[in-house]
Amino acid sequence: MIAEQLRLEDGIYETIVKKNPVIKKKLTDPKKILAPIPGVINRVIHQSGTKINTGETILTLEAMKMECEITASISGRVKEIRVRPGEKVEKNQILAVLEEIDDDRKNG
Amino acid sequence: MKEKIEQLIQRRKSIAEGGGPAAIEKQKAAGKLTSRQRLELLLDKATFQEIGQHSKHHSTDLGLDKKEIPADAVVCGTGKINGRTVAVFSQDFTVIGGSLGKMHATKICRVMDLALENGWPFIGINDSGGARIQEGVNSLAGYGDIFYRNTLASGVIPQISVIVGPCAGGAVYSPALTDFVFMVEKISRMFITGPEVIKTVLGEEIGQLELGGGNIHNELSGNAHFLAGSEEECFANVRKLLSYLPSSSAEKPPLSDYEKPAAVDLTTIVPVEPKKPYDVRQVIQAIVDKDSFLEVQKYFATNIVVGFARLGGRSVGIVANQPKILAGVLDVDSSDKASRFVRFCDAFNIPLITLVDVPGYLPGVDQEHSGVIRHGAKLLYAYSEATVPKLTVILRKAYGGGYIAMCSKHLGADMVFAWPTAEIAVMGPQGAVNIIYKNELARSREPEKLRKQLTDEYVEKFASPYVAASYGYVDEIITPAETRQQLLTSLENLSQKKVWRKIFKKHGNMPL
Repeated sequence: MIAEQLRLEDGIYETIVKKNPVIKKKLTDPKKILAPIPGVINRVIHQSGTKINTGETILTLEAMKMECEITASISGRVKEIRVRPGEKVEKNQILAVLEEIDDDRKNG
Repeated sequence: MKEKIEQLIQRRKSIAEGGGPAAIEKQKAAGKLTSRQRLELLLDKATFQEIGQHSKHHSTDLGLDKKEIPADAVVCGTGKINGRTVAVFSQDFTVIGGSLGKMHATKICRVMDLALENGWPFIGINDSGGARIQEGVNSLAGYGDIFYRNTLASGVIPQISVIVGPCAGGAVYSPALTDFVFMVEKISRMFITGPEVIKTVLGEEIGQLELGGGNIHNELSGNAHFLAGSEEECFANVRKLLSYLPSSSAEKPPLSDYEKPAAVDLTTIVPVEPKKPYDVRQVIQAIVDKDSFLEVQKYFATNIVVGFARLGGRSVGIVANQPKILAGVLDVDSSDKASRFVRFCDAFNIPLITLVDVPGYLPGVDQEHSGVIRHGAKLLYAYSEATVPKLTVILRKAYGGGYIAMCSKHLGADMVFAWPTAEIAVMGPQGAVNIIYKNELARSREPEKLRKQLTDEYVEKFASPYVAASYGYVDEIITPAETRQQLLTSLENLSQKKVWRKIFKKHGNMPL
């Protein structure tokens, strides 16, 4: 009746070995920086063209009376900033785009 | 006079409309009922008595002074379920998102106080966007006041939370402090930090239902106890659950009419070979009154089955290992699930029946590192602490720590029965032989032959209930067919059981 098996100290038991359902996590494109919540852009800290490391704040967003730091998900360079301070943004709106720095070019 | 009465009627009418037709339409579109419709489903017909419908917020900050909030976004009062009084609140999402402000919380606290003083069950219907930010710290104070009362009422009156909408942030802790959480598929969602915060902090995208929907909390987190496909089904389940429970810890559970279960040959359900699976729910159904089994946490930690049932019309709490899933082992989650259920039954004078078929605790790095020691200890604690009648039936294997934990004689079981198929031992035959005769087996030229011989000897000697019975750890060995009658007689005999603890203490320090 049940095909699955579980090995315990006393040998193999016939039983259902239930696996926890896998919750799918959709990872967004790390180069695109999206607004996590609707709000207003406070400050743009890194302008386009500047180098940036993972975790560094690119800009800040004010939402629900809180200042929310929007950070870089990868190390590289800010390719473009698509918003201005004071601008109202929607959820999931693209705020900035990052690019990886080509190592070869950097070395060469 | 006439005019004043007319004015009152007008006020009532406008309050009953909550957030108005547009907001109610939106509520409907979200597949949800209104706060008052929900009370109609929950309570006996025309038994609702409202308390505090004219309450108003007194906040003047952030534009709230211009805002009318009918009933302060929560309907509170008393009503009856199966003829017995209960206290209820039902949050109104159509009014300012059902957000919780000072008066909202004050109203809820008022019915909680009444419930506690009078010994009524307390039921909260949650559908709220969370704290009313405009009311600032008063809103937080409101939550705190509710949590405090939830805690004082714990173990005194049954407390039930129904989640039929969002319940996020601090709001989740009132349900968490109550005894049972009901959720509805596609409507309910509970989390401390929502998808937006998770995305900001971790960059992970997840939907509200995937994060904290009814299925998640019923299957995975164990935060909820019942899952329904619709609100109608959910409220019917709440009514059913209450039929097993006393209104307070000062009472005994209500007696009910009953029918005998359909005659089933239990020997055809439970295979003799201890490693073969079966569904223990079939055994439960064959023992308890017909159609009386109400499973609690049906989808969580399914290697143990817990739930309410009746035996001869009396409410009982059933705890049973489930050999069909994970061989019925005890692990972190199943220990948590069973312990909480045992403590609930003990607090509310519901006798416990434990059906044992357990190979022990689940081995594994994951289990050890998740703290199976302290989680497993909860079950020992809960059973030892319980003073309600405790009846145990050992169906098949009862090995090692699992044997002790499953309401053995040593933890204060009043009656321990065992079927002739019971094997009560430190461990199963194969495991025992491998350890005891490790050297002999290593030296042997024919280890498999020797192993078989030694295993057979071990089975012959220890794989039975007779050794345990010879020490009095098993009171009586019974046939499967005698089980129901033996339990009925024991329950009747133990119905006046009183345990006087001689040492005074405030409370123990349960491993958490």
